Amino acid sequence: MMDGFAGRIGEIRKSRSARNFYLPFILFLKSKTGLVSMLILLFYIVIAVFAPQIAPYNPLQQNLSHSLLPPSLSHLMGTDDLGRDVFSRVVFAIRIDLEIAFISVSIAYVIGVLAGIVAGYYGKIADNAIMRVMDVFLAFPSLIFAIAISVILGTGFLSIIVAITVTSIPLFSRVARSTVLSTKNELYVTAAVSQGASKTHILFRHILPPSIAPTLVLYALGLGGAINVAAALSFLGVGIHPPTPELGAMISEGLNYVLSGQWWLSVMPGLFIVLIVIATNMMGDTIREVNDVSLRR
Amino acid sequence: MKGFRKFLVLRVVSLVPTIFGLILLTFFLTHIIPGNPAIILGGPEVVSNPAELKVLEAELGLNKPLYIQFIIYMVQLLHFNLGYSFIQGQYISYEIGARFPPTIELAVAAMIIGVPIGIYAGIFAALRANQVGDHAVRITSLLGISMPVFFLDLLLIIVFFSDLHVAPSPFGQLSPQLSYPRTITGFVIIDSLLTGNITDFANSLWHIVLPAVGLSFAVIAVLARVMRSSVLDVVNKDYMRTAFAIGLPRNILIRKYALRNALLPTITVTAIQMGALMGGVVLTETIFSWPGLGLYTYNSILSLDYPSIMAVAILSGVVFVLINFLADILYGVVDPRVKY
Repeated sequence: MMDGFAGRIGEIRKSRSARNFYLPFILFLKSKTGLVSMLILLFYIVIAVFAPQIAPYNPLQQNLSHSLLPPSLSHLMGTDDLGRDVFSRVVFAIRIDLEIAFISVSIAYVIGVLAGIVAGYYGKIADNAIMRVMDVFLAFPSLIFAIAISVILGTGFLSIIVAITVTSIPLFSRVARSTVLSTKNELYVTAAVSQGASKTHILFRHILPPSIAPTLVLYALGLGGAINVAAALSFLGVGIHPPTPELGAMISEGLNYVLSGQWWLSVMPGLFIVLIVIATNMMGDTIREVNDVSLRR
Repeated sequence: MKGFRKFLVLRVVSLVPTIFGLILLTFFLTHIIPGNPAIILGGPEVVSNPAELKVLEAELGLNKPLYIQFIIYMVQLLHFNLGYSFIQGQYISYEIGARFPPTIELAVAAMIIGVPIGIYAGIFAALRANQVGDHAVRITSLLGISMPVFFLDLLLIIVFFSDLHVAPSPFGQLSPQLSYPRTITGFVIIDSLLTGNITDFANSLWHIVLPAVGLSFAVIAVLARVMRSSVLDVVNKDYMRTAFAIGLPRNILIRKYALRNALLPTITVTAIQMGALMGGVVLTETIFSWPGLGLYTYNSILSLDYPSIMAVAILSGVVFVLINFLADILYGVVDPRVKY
């Protein structure tokens, strides 16, 4: 008898929480902007994963007799000054930029959200210590801070990742902390405390889950931001080094040819940055709207 | 007013730990830089001569304990001494002082273009929510926040310089055949006006348009988005309906009711955008060969001039903190509901 009753409560709770949990995702995919942005992101991921199969040429193969050819059927986006196929280079550049974005934003997400909920939940000294450090990180204009970090660490793939991670952590922890401040006074948290649940249990079972949705917005935005920063760093010469193709570095390499009319060297990679950043911004907007709706229900 | 003074003092005091943290962080970063500064300064002769290396290290204070070095570093900063660039062979503050005016000129021009247009576009969109005009503003601002500034600059140059020939060549503040006006303030636009050099004045205005427009696009986009949502919030409030029912003219409704309420978020966003602008300046100045702090940063990166890069970092950090401080103070001035 007891068992059946408790089981039914558990079932109801499960179905309700399941509905609440999936609702934002369903709403997200039902909205036009959500679907479109998701498809664009998938398109980029496919390009990144199957880069060797998609690229018609070797992105590093020089062919000086075919240099600076305008876009045509054999070279969809033309060739650069060294006769390399711009389309193949863009494909491989997308691969490296996506790698940078996913790795750095994911690390920043985990560290940032954990620091944020710890600061928000434990309060007092932990809060002050963590948030003052974050304030200092936020006090730098992010691109300049990223430049300083990657110059010091020596340019390259790893230092870009560190630079982007360090500059995005504070954003995640701020938002995570602010959600914790409102959830930690909820009845269910008080209930858990009165049942004698340990602090770590409450932190991970009751405090962490509600702060995931709001920080997901930042995750989506962060992906686009990371690609933007990676491209800017490489454009300035502190990121990925030639001859490895990277979208921002490609824009900078083509800069000298823009004024003489060979626009495709820079414009083609630029368009691919804009498209992915638009997609992540649309995703962020949609997640925000969807969260509002699902919270209101 | 007494409350305001107390708030001011507290807010100034709260600046101290942040700025101290900034300095500590840059000091830490400069100390993990690979390479011994004494060796960089002395060159190969010192490497083969350990005694000379010791002397040089002592001269640079490198043999002192870390916390003493930090105190020296802070004292130097308080005297506006940002360090010595071995690569340029001169004090960094000297060079940075000369590079400040062109950057300020560019940033101010971008704000003058960006803030009014952004605010207007946001109100325009909010008052036509879900109509064609609203969609146009939303799509444009989505593009604005997604477009890397250096790519936008490039497109502007291609369209307005290469194709339409309406913009001047994208190199520097003046056309190369003109000579710079006598330096009074360091701001070329103001100096040319003060010396009565109309040709320079017109030419410098002509040169600043394209980079300033490039920088302002992101400001416009972000402001329009924030303005749109905050005006939409206000428009649906009860007192707006009451005011409308009373029969107040539409422009008073918008100016006195909607606009004032939307100002607070606008100030916050403008302050945050100034930080993004400082990063954008590095990219824009690089593309337009604009002789300001951004180009200085770029050249320092190319020559691996670490002290100069750290000086720019700490300087922009402090400026950004001060801008946020000003924004906090402005809240109280703009919004009578903010009590101290």
